[in-house]
Amino acid sequence: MKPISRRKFLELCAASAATLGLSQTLLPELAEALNGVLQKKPTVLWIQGAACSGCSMSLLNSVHPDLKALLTEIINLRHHPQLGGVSGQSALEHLRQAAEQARGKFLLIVEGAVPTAAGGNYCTVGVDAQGQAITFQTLVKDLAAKASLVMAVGTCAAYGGAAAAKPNLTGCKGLNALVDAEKLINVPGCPPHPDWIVGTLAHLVMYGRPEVDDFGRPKMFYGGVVHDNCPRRQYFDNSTFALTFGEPGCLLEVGCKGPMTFADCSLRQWNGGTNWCIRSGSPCISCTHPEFPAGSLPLYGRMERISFAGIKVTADTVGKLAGTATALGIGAHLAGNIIKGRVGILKKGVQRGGDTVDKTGAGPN
Amino acid sequence: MTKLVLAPISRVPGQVQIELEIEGGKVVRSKVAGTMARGLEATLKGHDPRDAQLLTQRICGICPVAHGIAAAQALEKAFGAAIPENARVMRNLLLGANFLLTNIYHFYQIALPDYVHSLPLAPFTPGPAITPTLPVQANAALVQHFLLSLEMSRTVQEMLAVFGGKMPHPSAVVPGGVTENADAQKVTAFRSRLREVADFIKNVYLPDVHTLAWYNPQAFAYGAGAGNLLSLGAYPLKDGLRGQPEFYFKSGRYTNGQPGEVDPDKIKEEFRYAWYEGDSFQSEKPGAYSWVKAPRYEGTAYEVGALARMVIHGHSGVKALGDKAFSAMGRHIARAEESLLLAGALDEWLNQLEPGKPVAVNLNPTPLAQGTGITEAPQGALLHRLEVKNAVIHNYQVIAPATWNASPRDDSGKPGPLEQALVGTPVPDTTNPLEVYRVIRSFDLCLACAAH
Ligand code: SF4
Ligand code: SF4
Repeated sequence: MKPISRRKFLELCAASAATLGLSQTLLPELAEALNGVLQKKPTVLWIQGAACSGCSMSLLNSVHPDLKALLTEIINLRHHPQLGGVSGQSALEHLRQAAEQARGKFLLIVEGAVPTAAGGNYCTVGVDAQGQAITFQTLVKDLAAKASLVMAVGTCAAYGGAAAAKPNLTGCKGLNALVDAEKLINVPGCPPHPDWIVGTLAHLVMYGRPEVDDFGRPKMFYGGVVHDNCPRRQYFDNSTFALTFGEPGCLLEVGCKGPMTFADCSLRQWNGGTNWCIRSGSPCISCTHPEFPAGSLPLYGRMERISFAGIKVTADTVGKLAGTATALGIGAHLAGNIIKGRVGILKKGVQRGGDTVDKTGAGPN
Repeated sequence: MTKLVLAPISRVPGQVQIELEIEGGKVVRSKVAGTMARGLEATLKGHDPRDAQLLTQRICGICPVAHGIAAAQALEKAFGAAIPENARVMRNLLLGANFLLTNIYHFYQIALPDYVHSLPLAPFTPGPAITPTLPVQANAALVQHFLLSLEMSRTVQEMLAVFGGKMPHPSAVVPGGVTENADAQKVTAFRSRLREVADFIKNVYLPDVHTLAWYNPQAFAYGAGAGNLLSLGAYPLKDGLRGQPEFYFKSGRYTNGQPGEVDPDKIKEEFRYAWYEGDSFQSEKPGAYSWVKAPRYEGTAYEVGALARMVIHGHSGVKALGDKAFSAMGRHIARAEESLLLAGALDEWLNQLEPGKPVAVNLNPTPLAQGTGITEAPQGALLHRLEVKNAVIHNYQVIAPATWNASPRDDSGKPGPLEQALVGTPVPDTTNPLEVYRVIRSFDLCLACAAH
């Protein structure tokens, strides 16, 4: 039997986003597709560094395939520090053996940033036979060299995230600074949606590397902008803004970074479609952004990168910021409104700060 | 004398390394080291104080609600905001759901594989080398429940999303209240899931813990520790700013068997054996062995967590255990009993939500302020201290539950709670110190929280 076509797979991912989560639709098709195709489930090794474990907790929320189906039918997860069995030196020995056995063929998943200051001593993961501490940095380098592909799960692993926020005393780095772009796939989010993790895994297993954007993120999940399909978009277009939490209205004035955020939360929603940030009245804090959290601060302050006050900001000005995906995101979606003069008229008479485009640039370098 | 160095310790969030000295088949000395630090407190400095809430949540993806609430409280104290009733209730619902999530997760995912043969599936296998004490059928039932518990953690995370926006790292707790509104549909969405989880706790989780205890009576005989307990209290039944705060889980201490009160100002962090000088990292500091500091209350180390809460709450089932409660198995019973208690309380608190009423007030930040947020995380007492100068965060201090439990020796050289609990643990086989792992995992440790 042949696997379902890649096109069909991508349709499933997107269709499910519009309904109830990848999980609801993917598994029956996936199970069928995998039936007999995967002689051997690919080896996956999952390691954790400067992390909060939120990404692993999020993985548990995958509905369908749930964790058990994922492990029995899709991947051979031979190491995960929180699900795994053995401890002590035998744990590292087991990990080393698994990497040797599948050398050049396994997928390495990294959760958490990599501390590089003080020789990597801000995160050690065990001791060798001589009693010497093994740093997470060494482990990542070792395993990444042997892996066929590396997947950074979460914004910390991908770009440094919260762990690498200034002053970054531990010298935390994301894998984008440590692993070649061709070998790396980033699945950011703080934490990432389980569908993003499992969907990317499924794509890798069946079709290899998915198409990614400039920041290594699979386009099938990070191709659109939160602001695009936001249920509060009508409020935005009508310039009705919430000024206190709990009020109806667009959340821009209370800090929403949806216009600069590439993710499909507005369609997919979270926790099996139960809710998500903006639906619950909380601003999007752009947790999938390469500059998160620094680029989103102040979290409850209106977006600094581009301000909408006054119609002085022309489509051209917005256009000049192009060149980074972030600015493109803003430009494409706001320019129209700015030209029509919709943006900038506040219904509630708020006093605003600056009214020009932030000259410092609108995207990560 | 044999020396053992255990690292990594799987199924413990964050990185921990344990050194043991073994004599006569028992642990005589132990050192517990947190081997990962991110320095998150420093990242808060210079930022808008209101950012503390969502940023400190990133300390832990397992108990983010507790950090969010502690930070929001610190901000509300600092700027004198009284949150609406709906916000108080909703925060209690969120925190309670986080407790259920963590307690269930801890028992099945973290602790159980030290007692039963788990799934014959990677990454669960190879598992710890154990001699099963349970009859085959009971073992099989527990493995089935282990799978069921995964469904439960999904369901509880949905409860958290109903009022919290999403989980992990809910978005809806904000300084000044919460962002989600109460309405009948959400109450139903929360309640239907809560009932399912409550059923699981009553009919599966609690009985499972007792089954495990029945077949492993020896696990009541080790892991006691010094028996000093502390809880900062959680689940305000009235807002503290409108009078004396009154908590469902009371604050208190137990020192050498004597009950006492808690004054949070008397909690100090010591760091003679930690890689710090004040707030700065000192990775080369001689004699130091951990990234975790040593919080002490008037110089004494206290165990925090469900056992402390249940003893201080006066839970009859836990009290009835007497000294056996202070053991590797006793802590599991305390967590399961607490879960049952909370599941009932949440069902009642849900009725206190008033649809249509406000959920947040605007915070009026002042340039100079300070505030302390105190609550309980599932893993134990949690304290956030905030200092604001020139309208930005000047200083931020987090003392997390595992900072207490996994603390190294303090300035006077006295060991931390887990270090104490490990002493006396039998080690019949130094190549497989199973009992030691059981004691370690009887504390719901989170090393990501401990050093943050
Ligand atoms: S600014 Fe935020 S809340 Fe407003 S429409 Fe855009 S994404 Fe939605
Ligand atoms: S809505 Fe924004 S902050 Fe929320 S999960 Fe999606 S990308 Fe992250």
